[in-house]
Amino acid sequence: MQFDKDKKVFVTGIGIISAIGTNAKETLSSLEHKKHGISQISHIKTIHKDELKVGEIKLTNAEIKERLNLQGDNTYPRTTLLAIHAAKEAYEDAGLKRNDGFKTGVILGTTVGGMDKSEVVYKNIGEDLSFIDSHHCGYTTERVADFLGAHDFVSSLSTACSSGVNAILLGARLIKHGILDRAIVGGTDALSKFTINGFRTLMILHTEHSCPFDKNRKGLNLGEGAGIIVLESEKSLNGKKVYCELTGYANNNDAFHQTASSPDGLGPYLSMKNALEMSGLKPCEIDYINVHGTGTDNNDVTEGLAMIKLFDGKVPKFSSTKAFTGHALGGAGGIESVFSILAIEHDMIFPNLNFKEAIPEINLIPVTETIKNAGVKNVMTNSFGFGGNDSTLIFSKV
Amino acid sequence: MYINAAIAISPQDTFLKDQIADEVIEHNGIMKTILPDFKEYFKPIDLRRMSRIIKSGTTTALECLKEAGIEKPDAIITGTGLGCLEDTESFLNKMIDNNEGLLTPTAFIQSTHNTIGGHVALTVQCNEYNVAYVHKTISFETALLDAVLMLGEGKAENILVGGIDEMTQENYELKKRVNLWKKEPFSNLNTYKSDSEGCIPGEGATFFNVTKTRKANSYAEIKMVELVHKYENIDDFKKLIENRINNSGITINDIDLVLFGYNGDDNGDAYYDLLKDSIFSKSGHAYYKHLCGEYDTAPAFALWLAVKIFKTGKAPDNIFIKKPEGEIKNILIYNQDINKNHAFMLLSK
Repeated sequence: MQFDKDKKVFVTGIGIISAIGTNAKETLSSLEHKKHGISQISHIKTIHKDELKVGEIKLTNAEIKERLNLQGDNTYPRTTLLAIHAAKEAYEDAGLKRNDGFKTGVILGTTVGGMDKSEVVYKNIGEDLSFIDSHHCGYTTERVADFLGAHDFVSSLSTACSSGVNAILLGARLIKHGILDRAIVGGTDALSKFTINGFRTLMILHTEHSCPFDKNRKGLNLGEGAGIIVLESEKSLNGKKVYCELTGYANNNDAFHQTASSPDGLGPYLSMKNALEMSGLKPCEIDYINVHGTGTDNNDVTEGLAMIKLFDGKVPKFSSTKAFTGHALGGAGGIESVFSILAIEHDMIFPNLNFKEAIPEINLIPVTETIKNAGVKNVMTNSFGFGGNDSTLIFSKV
Repeated sequence: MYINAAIAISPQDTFLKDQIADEVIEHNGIMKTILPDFKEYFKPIDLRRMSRIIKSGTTTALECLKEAGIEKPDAIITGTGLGCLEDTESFLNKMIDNNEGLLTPTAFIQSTHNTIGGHVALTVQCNEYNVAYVHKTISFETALLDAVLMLGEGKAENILVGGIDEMTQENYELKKRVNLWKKEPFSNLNTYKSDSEGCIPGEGATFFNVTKTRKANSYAEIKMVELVHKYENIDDFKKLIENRINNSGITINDIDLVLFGYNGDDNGDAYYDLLKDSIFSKSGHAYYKHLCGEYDTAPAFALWLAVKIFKTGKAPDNIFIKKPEGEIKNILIYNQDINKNHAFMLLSK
């Protein structure tokens, strides 16, 4: 085990399922044509059904199982099904084959694991007690590893809403240490009554379609989905197509409050600054930032202030894509990493929907229309979470 | 990587202690942790608001920093199997019982798996790397491996690493139904005497300070952290583990004591025998789960025990299956979950 900080980590496969598409192609089309996925709740039985809007994937669990040929198995939570769906796409996209001699691992992030299933059967326990096992955050990762036959390193982490990004970060580090040649990494979370009610008690859910970075933003729409990518070292590439390189990453803590960001966004500033330093890029070389941009009062101001400080007032083009998908919690970092990779691959910057007027304290205007031929070479993406957890990734064109 | 401080709250009297008493504290049913007086660590409002696991985790973390003589670590890495279970259950139960009405945010906020890591960061104002691993029985070992990686990257000099899990009555009753726990309340003094399914549930909060360089107060050196999700062929697995140990700077024959994660569950214990009676047959053998019970981050307690054996030069007699002759200088900790998630931690005095 020898750490090689200069060892390059490439993205060779992407997989995504969210409210705006069940694969990368559909997702790109929705982003490009401003087709959002925010709607009323249809799959979850909740009394808040009519007063909230969410980014829900319209496929039922049974339909996802059918797509994955998992008909015989009834025990998977939706969080697991979404992860397998996205992981399968990424795996096939990267052209991977089982047992090809390269060390391949799976690391996933999630916030509440199999809660979507636990909460339904918890007080109504019949013969099916499989939720006890599937409740664990590690359950999904093991099912994905089994589905793909990738067992050289299997683990899971949870840093609330930045979970997906931190899974990608660990995968890259394991490659640089030579523990893995290849890592299948990302995040997954299904909508659940637990998180809907949790966020509702925090009073940060918008009852209408969210409007990140807008003066009149009133909170977030929850969402669901999984974004999973394949990271590889040069060793296993064999001349295959490479999307981009992961050139920077950082994880910092705001150390201010369990749920609120510090007034000046210290944690976000540090994670962006450290990721930028690692990439060796100059601030002006960042062409696009896919911001965390939840649309809450607190997040957008503090993230904005942190960007202004880091870029010395010259903030690059940026957008929050959460008005497309809703906030998919542990899935968000994976989903938005895929968006960032698509931005480089198709040289496009995606719009921040529903923006009308800048927030006075920061006066920042996001990209509001799709920009094509945008000259996108380096993309930064942010994910921040409860517990003060702030993480940033930078993807660069090869 | 060196360990300079180790603090444990466990079902034994271990908090701020250097040794396990010869007389094992008996528990029937859940092996609950013996808690210190939290008053000197928390404000009254936090005492009321925070769950046992948050208080235990934060307290062990802060005492660990104190023992190491460090105000602020360069990273905080935690492992937890089920996270803040009491808060999770509390919010879930209220949500279901009140049909989603009358809910307050505290339990929800505190239910996330990274609550303790975040709270420790907040308390000591640490803005650095912070992550929580949540992969069942390897949650703590993944955290420790991350610390090894981080020190290897030169990004940190000293790191706080911890394993925290709590057991609730509700979870105990639930898991009894799938034979994870013994059906009847079972004394921990008889942990290994059963010939039945299930084990005895425990809990604990254990934190360590690790550094890249050796300090005057270093008790142990971590030589290897190895995770094997599963294996197909037992002979290949034995060879792999033997090779990894032999590449760590000592040889398999130098291991004086192996601390096995035997927990009295017929379904899992036989898998320890496979290595105990083969590649580790020449070493001394010990177990520890009669002291702490079974929980996802129990290996963190085993590491605490190993560190204290080095520090004091003494080991309680009740842990030995086969006592080694002479001084114990190298200890291997081996845990697995019914032939999955095999985890090894090798340390030297």
